[in-house]
Amino acid sequence: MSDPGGLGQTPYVILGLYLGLLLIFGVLGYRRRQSESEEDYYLAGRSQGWVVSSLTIMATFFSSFALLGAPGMVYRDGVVFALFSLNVPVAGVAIYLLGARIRRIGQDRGYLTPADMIADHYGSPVGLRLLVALVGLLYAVPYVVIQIQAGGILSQQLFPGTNAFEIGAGLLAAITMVYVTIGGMRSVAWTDVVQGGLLVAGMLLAGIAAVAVLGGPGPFFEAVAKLPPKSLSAPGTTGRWTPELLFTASLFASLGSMIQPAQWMRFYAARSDDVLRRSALIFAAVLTLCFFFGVMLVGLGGQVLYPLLDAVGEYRTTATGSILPHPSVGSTPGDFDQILVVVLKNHLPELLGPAGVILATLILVAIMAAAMSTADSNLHALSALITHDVYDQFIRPEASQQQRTWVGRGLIVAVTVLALLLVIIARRSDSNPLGMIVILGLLAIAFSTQLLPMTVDMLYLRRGTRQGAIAGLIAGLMTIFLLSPFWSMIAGAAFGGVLGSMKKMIDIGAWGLLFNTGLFVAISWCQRRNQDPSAVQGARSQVES
Amino acid sequence: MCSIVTPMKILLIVLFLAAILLGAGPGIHLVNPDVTDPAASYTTFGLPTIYVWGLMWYAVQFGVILVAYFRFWKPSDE
Repeated sequence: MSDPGGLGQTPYVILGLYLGLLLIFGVLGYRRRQSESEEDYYLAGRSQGWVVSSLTIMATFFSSFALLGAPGMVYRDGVVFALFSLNVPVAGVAIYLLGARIRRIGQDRGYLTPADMIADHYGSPVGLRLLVALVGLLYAVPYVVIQIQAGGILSQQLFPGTNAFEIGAGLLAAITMVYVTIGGMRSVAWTDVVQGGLLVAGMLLAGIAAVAVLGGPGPFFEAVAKLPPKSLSAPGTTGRWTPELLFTASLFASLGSMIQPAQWMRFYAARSDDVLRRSALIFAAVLTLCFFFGVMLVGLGGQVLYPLLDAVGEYRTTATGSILPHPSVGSTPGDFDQILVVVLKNHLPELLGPAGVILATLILVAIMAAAMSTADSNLHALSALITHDVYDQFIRPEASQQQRTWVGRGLIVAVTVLALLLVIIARRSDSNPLGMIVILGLLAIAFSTQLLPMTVDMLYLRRGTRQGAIAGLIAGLMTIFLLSPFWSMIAGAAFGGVLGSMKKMIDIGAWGLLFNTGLFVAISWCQRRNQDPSAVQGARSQVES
Repeated sequence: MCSIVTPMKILLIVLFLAAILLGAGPGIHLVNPDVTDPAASYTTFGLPTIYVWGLMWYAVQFGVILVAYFRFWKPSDE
């Protein structure tokens, strides 16, 4: 065996133990199943207590975005991105204010997916159900892809060698697929407990490690204070993070992440409102601290250890002007995400000896945990969306519960293989279209955020109509598509000037939300004003608070 | 869940929204150093000013959540 990234054989042992534990949970989840029903496979019989619920919600929220993407973005753009941490308390509040109501209605009516509730409320069993399922797919697919990609990035740093990226990505995908397929929600939630604990510890330890590498808090912040002015101010090194963009990204990223299908199903799976009440508090307290005092400090320390400016004080850039990381970190704009792994691998063993090796390995396993815990939740949710919202409703409504769960398992295998292929093909292309983790993650969240107007209306206002909901959702999705990199791939520079200016002003999810809400409110108002009976009858009042 | 609107609830909502708007939003302009000014100061209490700004607004957000948790969020179904 080769020496993994200079850390000896320790990573092999700890990683092996961790992956073995996950497989045991997969088997236990299967053996503890109460029935071969969709409700048991997808919602673990709606019986989760507060410890499991809070950790599975945290672990689903935390992805490679948190452990690789966030420090990578601070490393690139500087301290301004640390303020993105303020999205976490907003998500915490949403767990209670949205989640508790979603849970209660879901339990009363036996809902399994977000589309169940939305289609039923607005009386649209085909159109809205398919649209909501599509939104779920647009969120879950990129999220699965970026977690698998993170496994490859980690492996590449940890186990240098031929095909290290492909082996790491493949291993993460295969183990995750196995335990999700066999154990369903029960296995996913139990593994999330282990992974949630690991990643909370990993994030905090990473921050402590970064500070220790520079000699403690005093020397750390003295060195940070000497960073280039752009690293200590908004909009940051690349000029991307204007306060307005940061505000809309923070606000809607948190809400979009909390109403994405995997979290929505976790609300259904909670045993009571009190479970979600406690989860909200733990989430807001623990996770924000992990960001502020953990991974964000790694990005800042990274700028000190691996400066972005070259010997003559100029930023290293590509031919097209994109800023590049220090050559020891990487050679492409997508390599900023590697800063945490590089800092740990290159400095901790030197600083702490054998203890540093173990610490560095634990944090690296935490990155794996962050990626796997999000990949498993999204794979599981994807399976539910396709099986329950499409197969059960339109393809084979007469299928038995057992057949449905087996179709769901088959889908998990198929989606994992496809996502892995996509990651590997993208990696081998000259311009990796999957790019940086944060950019792809924010795009997925932007799609999911489009469910927000309907969710708020359904749970609190109950004034919207079916036609308003459908038109608003389509408008929101179209707006995001136009502002995403996909449009420029298809249409080249068409409307490039206008779209480019829009993207710089506020987050693309917020633009989608503006058009979505505007159309939703306008159409619903017109229909109610004209007393259109079909519209008013379509939207049912189900929430009794 | 308690749905009656009280002055205390309104205060908490306003404080929470202000914390997002000021902490991670346009409020940053109030403390953002001007990179074109050679005399600009980038730190407060030895830490980057923007980082201190974020920590302060986090304290406000968490304070609001704590009050809401103990006073308004009730375990209604148990």
